Amino acid sequence: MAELGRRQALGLIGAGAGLAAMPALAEALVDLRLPGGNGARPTSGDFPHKGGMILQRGRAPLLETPLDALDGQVFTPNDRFFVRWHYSDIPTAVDVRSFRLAVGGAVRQRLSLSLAELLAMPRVELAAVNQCSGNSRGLFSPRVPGAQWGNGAIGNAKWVGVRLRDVLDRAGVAPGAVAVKLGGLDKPPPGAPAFEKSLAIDHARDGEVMIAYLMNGAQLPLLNGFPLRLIVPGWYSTYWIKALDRIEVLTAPDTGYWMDKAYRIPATPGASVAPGAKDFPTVPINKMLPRAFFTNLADGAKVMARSPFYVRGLAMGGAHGVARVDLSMDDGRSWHAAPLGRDEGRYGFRLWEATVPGQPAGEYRLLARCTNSAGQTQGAAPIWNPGGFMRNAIESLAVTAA
Amino acid sequence: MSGRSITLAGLVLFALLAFGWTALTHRLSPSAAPGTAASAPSVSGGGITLVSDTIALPEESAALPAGSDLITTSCTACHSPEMLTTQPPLTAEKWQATIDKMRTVYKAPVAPADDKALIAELLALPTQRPQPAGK
Ligand code: HEC
Repeated sequence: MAELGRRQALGLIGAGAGLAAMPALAEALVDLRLPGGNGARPTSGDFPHKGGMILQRGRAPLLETPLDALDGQVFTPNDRFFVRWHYSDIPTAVDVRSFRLAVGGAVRQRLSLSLAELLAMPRVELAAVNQCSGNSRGLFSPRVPGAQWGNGAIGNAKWVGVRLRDVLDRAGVAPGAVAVKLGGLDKPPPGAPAFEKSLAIDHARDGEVMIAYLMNGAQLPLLNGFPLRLIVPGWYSTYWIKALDRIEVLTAPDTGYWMDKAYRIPATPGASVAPGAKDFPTVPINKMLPRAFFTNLADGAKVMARSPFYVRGLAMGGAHGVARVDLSMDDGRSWHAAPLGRDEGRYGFRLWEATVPGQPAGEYRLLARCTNSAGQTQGAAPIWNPGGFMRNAIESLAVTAA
Repeated sequence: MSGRSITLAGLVLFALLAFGWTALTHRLSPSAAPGTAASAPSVSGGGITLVSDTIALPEESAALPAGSDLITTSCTACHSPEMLTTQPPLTAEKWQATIDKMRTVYKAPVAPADDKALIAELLALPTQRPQPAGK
C-alpha cells in the first residue's frame, strides 16, 4: 500500500537525521490569527483537483478554503472546496463500472446499486452549505485540541442526486426501523471504529436528505467524496458521508463510536458550557446555526478616511433560510440591514453587501450578524465546549480609516 | 459613530454579472471530472456521465524538529506531523488524555512506559511554546 511506503520512509528519515532537514514543499504562509498564536499555515496547490488551499494536515488531508475563494459568489468552486478526512486510508481510485452502493439491515430486499441504476432514478437538485462541525475551532478561547480550522471549513454547492428516501423505499424499510447508518470507502486503522454516522429514520426519509453525484454541475472531486456523497441539508458535515458505499437500516439506536462518543455537544442552550466543564449531558451534534462572514476585507483592513468603502460577505441560515443580515459599527447598539443577493435555496449561502459611508480617521469595528427565518440569530459572546464545535459568534472586523 | 447610519447600496451589477457568469459556465461545462482522461471508463444515464478517477496524493511536506524521535515512531503512523504541530499549547495533562484516546479509540500501539518521555518531547515542540496573541 502506497500509504505505508510513504509512512515508513518518513519514519526512517525521522529516526535517522531528524525531519527538520526535509525540504519544505509547501508554498506561501497564511496567518489564521488564532488566539494564542500558532495560526501560520502553508498553502498548497499540490492536491489533486484542487487549487490553492490552506494546508492544515497532509495525511489524512485537511484542506481549508481561503477567504478569497469564498468572496463574491454563493457557490464555492469545487477546486477550492474544503477537504476533511478522519482516517488516512482514503479512496484514491474509483472505478465507476464496478462501484456499488449496498443497502441492507432492516429492509425487505437488500440492494447493491450500480451508478447506472442511481443515474436512472428520479433526480433532485438542492443548494446546501457543507460546514465542518469544528469549523472555526482554532478561534475557541480557551483553545481546544483537534483540527485548528479558521473560518474556511465551509462551502456551498449545488448538489444533484437521488433522494435517500427513494433508495430506502426501493429496498423497503422493514417495520421497527429507527435509524439509518451510513458509511463510505475510507478505512480505519486496524481495530479502530469505521467512520459511520446515522440519522433517525424519519430524518433519513424526509425527502431532503439526498445522495449526490454532481457538485456544482460536475462529478465530485475524489477528495470531496466521489462518486457519491450524502447531503444532509442544514446539518453539520460530519453526517455528509463521503464516498458513500453502504446504508444499513437499524432497529436499535446506533451505538458506534462516531455517534455515541464523538461529535457530541453539550445538551445546553447554544451547546455551551463553562470552559473546563466535564461530565455534562451531551447529544449528537445536529442542526447548523446562522452565521455571517466578511469575505472581501480581512481583519485589520485599512480604508481611506472620509471615503465610502464597500464590504460584502456570505451568510447562511443553518437549518432555515437567511432572513436578514445586519451590520453594526457601534458595538451592536444599532444595526442596519444589508441588502441580500438572490435566494438560491434556503440551505445555501446568501450574498450580502453594503457601502459604508466615509468615516473620520480612526479605528473601527464592523460587526455582521445573520438572523434566519426561524428567528435564530448570532450572539456576541462566543460559546465554549471541549470539542470546539458549532462556533457561530458574531464576526467582527477591525477597520482602520486613515 | 453611534448616531450615524450606514448607507447601504443595492445589489451592484458586479454581483449580477458574477451570478450570470456562473450560471453560464455551469450550463456549458460537461459533467466530467476535472483533468480525467477521455479514455477513462465511464457510466452514463439521463445526460450525466461519471468517469472513473484515480488520484495521487502529494508527498508530505511537514517536518518535526530534531529530538522528536519518539513522536515520529509513536505518532505519525496514522496522521502526518501537522496533527501535532498545529495544536495550541496544551498542558501535560491534556497531552496525556490525547495519548490515552489514541490508544483506546484508534488502537495506537504506544507503550504506556513511553508516555512520560513522549509528553516531554511533545511539550518541547516549538509550536507548544506560548506565543503572542494572533488577535
Ligand atoms: C493508530 C492510529 C493513530 C496513532 C498511532 C496516533 N493517532 Fe492521533 N489520531 C488518530 C486519529 C484517527 C485521529 C482523528 C483524526 C481526525 O479526526 O481527523 C487522531 C487525532 C489526534 C489529535 C487531534 C485531537 C483529537 O483528539 O482528535 C491529536 C492531538 C493527536 N491525534 C495526537 C496524537 C499523538 C500525540 C500520538 C502519539 C502518541 C498519536 N496521535 C498517535 C489516530 C492515531
